[in-house]
Amino acid sequence: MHKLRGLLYLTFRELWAKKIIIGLFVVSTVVWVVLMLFMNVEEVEGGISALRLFGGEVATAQGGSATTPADTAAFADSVAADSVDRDTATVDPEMAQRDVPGNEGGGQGGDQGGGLSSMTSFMQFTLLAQTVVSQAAYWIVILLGLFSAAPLFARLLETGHIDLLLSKPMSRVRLFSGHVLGVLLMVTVLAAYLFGAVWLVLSLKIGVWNAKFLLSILILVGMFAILYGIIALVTVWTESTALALIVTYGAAIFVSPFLAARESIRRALNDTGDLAFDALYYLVPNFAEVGYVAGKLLHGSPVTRWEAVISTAVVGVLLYLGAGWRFVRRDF
Amino acid sequence: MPEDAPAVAVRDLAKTYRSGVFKTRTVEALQGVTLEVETGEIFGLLGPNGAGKTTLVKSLLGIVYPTGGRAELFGVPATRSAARAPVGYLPENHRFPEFLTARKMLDTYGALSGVAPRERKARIPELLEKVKMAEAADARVGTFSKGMLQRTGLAQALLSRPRLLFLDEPTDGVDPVGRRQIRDILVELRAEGTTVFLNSHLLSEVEQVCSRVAILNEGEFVREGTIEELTQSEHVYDLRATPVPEETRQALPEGVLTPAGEPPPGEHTDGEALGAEATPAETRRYRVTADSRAHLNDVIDRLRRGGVELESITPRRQTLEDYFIDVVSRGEEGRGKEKEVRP
Repeated sequence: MHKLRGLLYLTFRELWAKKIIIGLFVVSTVVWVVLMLFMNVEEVEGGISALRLFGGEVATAQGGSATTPADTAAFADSVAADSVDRDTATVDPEMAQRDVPGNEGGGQGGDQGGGLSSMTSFMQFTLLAQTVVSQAAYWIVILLGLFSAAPLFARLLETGHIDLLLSKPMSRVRLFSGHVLGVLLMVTVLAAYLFGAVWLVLSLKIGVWNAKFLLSILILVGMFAILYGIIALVTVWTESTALALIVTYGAAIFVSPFLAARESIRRALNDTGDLAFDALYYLVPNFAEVGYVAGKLLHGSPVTRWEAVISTAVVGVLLYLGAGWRFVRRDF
Repeated sequence: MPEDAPAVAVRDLAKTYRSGVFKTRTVEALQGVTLEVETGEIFGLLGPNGAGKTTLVKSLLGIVYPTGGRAELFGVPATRSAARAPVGYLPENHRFPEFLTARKMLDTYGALSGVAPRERKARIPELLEKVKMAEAADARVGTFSKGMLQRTGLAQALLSRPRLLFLDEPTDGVDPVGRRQIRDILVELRAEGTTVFLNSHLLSEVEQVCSRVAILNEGEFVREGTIEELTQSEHVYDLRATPVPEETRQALPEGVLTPAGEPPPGEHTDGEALGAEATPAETRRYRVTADSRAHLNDVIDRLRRGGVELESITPRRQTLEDYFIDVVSRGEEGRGKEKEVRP
């Protein structure tokens, strides 16, 4: 346990010493602070209050007691919760509408219908804000995080550093996995900080506690882990951080958007091309498509194709097996 | 871990590095090396650059995988991580994390060695004091000079109270005072029963602290023994005696008795300077070359019969450096000849 703790500490401190990680924390802080300030802008606050008022009227019309902002928030929360509990697994505006008592008439009822529409907009606003943050963070945090963490793996393999680590009474598997775990923990902390703060700001201000937004943390860390697997594999073979970053960014930024447009592209290919494209689809982490799936999950939209997520996860496992095998077998 | 096992045991250890796209280029870094280092020894490993010293040490620490033979530390195969539990190591070109303070660096590496937090807390100040780095304990490693890094590195290697210590050029960049302090620490460790495996280019240093030395050249051990065994010149003796009459000298075969003259740099006899001039006690120094004990006694008998009074006769010693250069040059000459006869 001391050894693992030592490894994690060393990795944490090395990452911290890289100013980019500090920069990412600063950027994350700026994001939620700006969001908080934005939510306090008079017009936005007024808009939110108006939406709350309409929501409150609806609730009052149904139960006659939800007049305070807290009650309104609780109502919105319950609507969200009800819809979340269903199979869509997120705040589903349609479901929210369906579930509100007295709304069986499909939005009939003058003010009631307007209130529900406002409630829908209210939730859509929350979802929109959360989607923007999660999608932007998915790209920015992962790509910048890789940029800051990639040199760390090359540094691990440096003569004079790796010799000393390997001379300690611990297996190479533990050393490799301890290093990767340290990097992933740091990214988890960063993601939890950003997403947690944004979620708190939006939820406290609007009153809709959409816990699904926090799923973005898991998706971001998972995708980061898979791409860091490419970094690890390329670096352990070539000891070149530059090459590792080129390959990883090439896969994430240039190849994966094409893979995400698989259906459209396949129509234009012959059998051989189709086969080649399929091979590429299953061998390269589908960074773009997984991001798209994450967005759908956040919205509660049904995900019809899980192939990208599954193949990316499998490729991730293979990447770590390959990198780990090479790390254990090679001379330093 | 067997109690009576030697600290280091190496049998026919071989390592061939392969490089190139198709792994066709090969370098035989170790060619069937066999070695044993007993517990409590300070063992010196010498050799020119590229001789295979670092590969040998790395093989013993599981950093490189041998392609043949086997290596054990205290009876445990060196490839197993358990073999490194009683080991401390200071690599030559170490790169300690520059952003950590000396204290934190020791604490981190101590944790990686499996030292408990309480013991680390007690031992770190003690070790920093020992290597004269207590005042810089809270300074960042990145600000240290080479000598300070070496001292901190030595403390790092000692933190887990190792039974076997591998030191690769421990005094590199250290000033003479610091070198002396490190030597004293090594002698102290030997007294405590710690085995030290020392790899150093400073031959005078090796000569002063090592109980046994091996010379590695081109991946093979060319000599191994105690310092006395290695530095003793075969069949050459330094004689101090009253002046030898000319007729007695001429009666001896040519080259058997020669005036000692001005010694080459570095040569000495038990720490005394040689010279052809008469000493205050009217004795002179000569060099006797005798190819056997019987021959030596015959020469002495003749001198005695010639009226020469002997004051002392001692086997001639050379420095370890002379010996090392001699051995390595002979190796190179041998290879040169080998190349000449090759078609």
